Amino acid sequence: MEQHELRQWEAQCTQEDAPHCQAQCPLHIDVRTFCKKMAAGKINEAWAVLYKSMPMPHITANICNGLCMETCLRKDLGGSINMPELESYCAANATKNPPVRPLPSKGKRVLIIGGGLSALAAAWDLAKKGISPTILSTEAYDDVASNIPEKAFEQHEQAMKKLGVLFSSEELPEDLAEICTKWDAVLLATSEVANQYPCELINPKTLQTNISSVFTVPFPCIATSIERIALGRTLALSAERSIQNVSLTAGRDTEGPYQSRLQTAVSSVSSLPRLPAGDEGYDEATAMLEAGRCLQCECMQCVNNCVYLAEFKSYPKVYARHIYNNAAIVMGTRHANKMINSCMLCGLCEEICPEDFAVQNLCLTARQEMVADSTMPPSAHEFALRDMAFANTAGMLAKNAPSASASTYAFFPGCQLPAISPHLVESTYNYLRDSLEEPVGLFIHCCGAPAHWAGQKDLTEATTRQILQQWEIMGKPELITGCPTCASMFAELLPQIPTRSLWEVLEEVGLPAKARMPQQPYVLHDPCSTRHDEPMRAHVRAIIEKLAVSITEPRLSGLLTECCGFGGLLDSANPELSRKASQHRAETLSACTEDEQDVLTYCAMCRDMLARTGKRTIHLLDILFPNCNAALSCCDADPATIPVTGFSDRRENRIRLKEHLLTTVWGEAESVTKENAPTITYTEQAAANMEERRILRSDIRKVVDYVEATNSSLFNTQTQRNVASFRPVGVTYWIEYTKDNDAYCIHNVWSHRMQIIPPK
Amino acid sequence: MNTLQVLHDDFSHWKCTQCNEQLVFTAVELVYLESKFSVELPTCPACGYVLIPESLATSKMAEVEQLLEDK
Repeated sequence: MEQHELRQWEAQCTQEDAPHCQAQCPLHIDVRTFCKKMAAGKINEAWAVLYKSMPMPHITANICNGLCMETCLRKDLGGSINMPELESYCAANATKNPPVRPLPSKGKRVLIIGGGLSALAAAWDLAKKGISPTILSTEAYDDVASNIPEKAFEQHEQAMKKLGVLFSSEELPEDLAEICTKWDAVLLATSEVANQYPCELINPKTLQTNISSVFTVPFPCIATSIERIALGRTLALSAERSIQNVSLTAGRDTEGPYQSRLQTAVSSVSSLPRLPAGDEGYDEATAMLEAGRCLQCECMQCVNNCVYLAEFKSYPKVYARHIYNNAAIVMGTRHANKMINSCMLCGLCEEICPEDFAVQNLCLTARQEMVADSTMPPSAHEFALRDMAFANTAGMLAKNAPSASASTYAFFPGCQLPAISPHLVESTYNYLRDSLEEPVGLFIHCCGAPAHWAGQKDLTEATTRQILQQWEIMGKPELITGCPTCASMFAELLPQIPTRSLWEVLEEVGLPAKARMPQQPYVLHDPCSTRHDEPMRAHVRAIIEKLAVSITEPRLSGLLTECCGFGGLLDSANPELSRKASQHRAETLSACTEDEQDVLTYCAMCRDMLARTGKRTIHLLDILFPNCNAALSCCDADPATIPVTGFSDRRENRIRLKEHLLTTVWGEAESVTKENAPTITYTEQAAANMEERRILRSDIRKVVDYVEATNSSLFNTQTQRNVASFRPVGVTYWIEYTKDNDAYCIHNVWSHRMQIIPPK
Repeated sequence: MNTLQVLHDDFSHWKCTQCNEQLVFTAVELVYLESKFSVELPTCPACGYVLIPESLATSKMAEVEQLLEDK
């Protein structure tokens, strides 16, 4: 990522923008923090917030007219927060003034001609910055003294004294040019004096006049108290910049009231009426309650709706910076790798974000760059990519319809449905062949999504090339996609291949007669890959309606559906977070109904990911094709109770399906050479560890074969068990076993990636 | 290269089935992603078969692998 790209990303996230009250306030008081402190009864800390950003806070806090209230998001939800009363209360009840610490003197002097709020505010700001101000006026406090409590006024005077603000009662000088030779800058602080001197305001933003070191309020000056204080602040800043000889204009876009881009969702906020102040203002309890009405506006809409974004405790603007820094590291630790590889790439954030911040694009690009730079951790996606490789070799099947030399259609079930529910692939394929008049082929292959998600551009291209070649060999059939992810991948990566979703075709040809009588109603879970596939979602709903199945739509569905925890290979890169995401989705689905309803979905992976949380979940095909097939390990059980398919079972299911279909549909039984290989059994603990550690039965078989071939192992004389290892490629697998009559019983398994160089 | 000692248990009850030798702590090199460590591990003195116990593979070794992957 280039730096300008980072800036573009950062600018898209408004989370750090000021809340509307702060942006509207001419002094940009941090209203949010002030209210937070007040609501907590931390009066002195709240006072410190005002002290930090208000010029002469003892006065300002008592005369604020609450411009912020115009834009307060509470305005129509009970009334804007009563900031003027809260500020007065805070000023009167704070027991500790923060220390006044002016910067070291810069040896510069500014003459402020005329009194009043602009003059006093300018003097306060200049003095704090180490520039000595002198206010030339006999009536500096005339328009404010009567509105300020006596105690506050005394404290103000003490602070002004500490700051070293000088007052002069000399006659107003006549010759402005002469004054300019004696002072580093001159400020004309009231409309009257501005009118008295022969200079002209040439920039209303910086208040600069045609004399470079003279700055003036406009004439006439129609401004509220707070606006006059803000004018004083502008005068002071311009004088300071003029003295320092730096740009008067740079970086001043947000001086004075401006429009903030911060977006805050208030649709679920209930109204809470403003608390009235008595004649003496608020008492402590009321002030705390009133401040507590502050919504503490922030955006965080994407983070509040995404387990992944919440996991890393920040928000997209910060994540963009982390990703940029991560790529820039030459020596040292890349702390953002895990974060980059944990995005589900589902695109919900983009739909929710008022500015369309697409975290998925940020993360996918970062992954592609990591792969290109060889900095992608090998462990992140390797297991998933190995599974993809298996699906596209041993598990792959591409056949024209029996006795057809080309196919008009081909069913493309994807790689997960054959792995999880092979019997549904068989039933669906048979039904399509029966229902469509033209020949229907079968094409079992992975669409390349894992390679794409892993940022592996070359592998993605190689996979889509294979698909394209095979599709051409089959006579360029229209593909009927059974997996929503495949459908979205074809649309993105292989637009030249005509595809239709299985649901569209089933709706057209009619539904099988023997649909299962389901228990209803169901909660419908849209897979995240259908987010932008409105037609597919509509076809599914039409089928559900035809089946007379009643469904509940969850809060987040359709365009705003959530990922099940598998998307973006999260389950491979961060299994713990993947579980959290599945759990979160299951809870969202549970929360949308009072009674616990089963979930209905139409993605094999979603089915298993939700089922692993204990949420009863079925696939739409479970309803459409209830017939079971023992040859494909399918029993007649309630589909919502079928356990999640383990990693090894998924591979074996693919092989079993392929062999079964070759025999039953094409009459091409593959000659399975049964070797005299030793049998292997697994203890429950070993099987559980294999799933958790992603060690396949085929991996274990390799270790056993190695032991058989070399007879080398280690033996623990205490436990009477053997231990052996084998490293087929990048991982060393270990087994702890006992052997009895050539049968291996595996008690435990583990693995590591480090390579052992034995001693010479 | 300093040789690290990461295992402190007694491995005298382990032996190599092929060589019938008792395992002894020996300096072994572990390599991952262009990084190399010398670690004392229970090894068959005859054939050099090295034991990586489960506890080591799933804790310290996994942590170091993760660190090296993020380097």
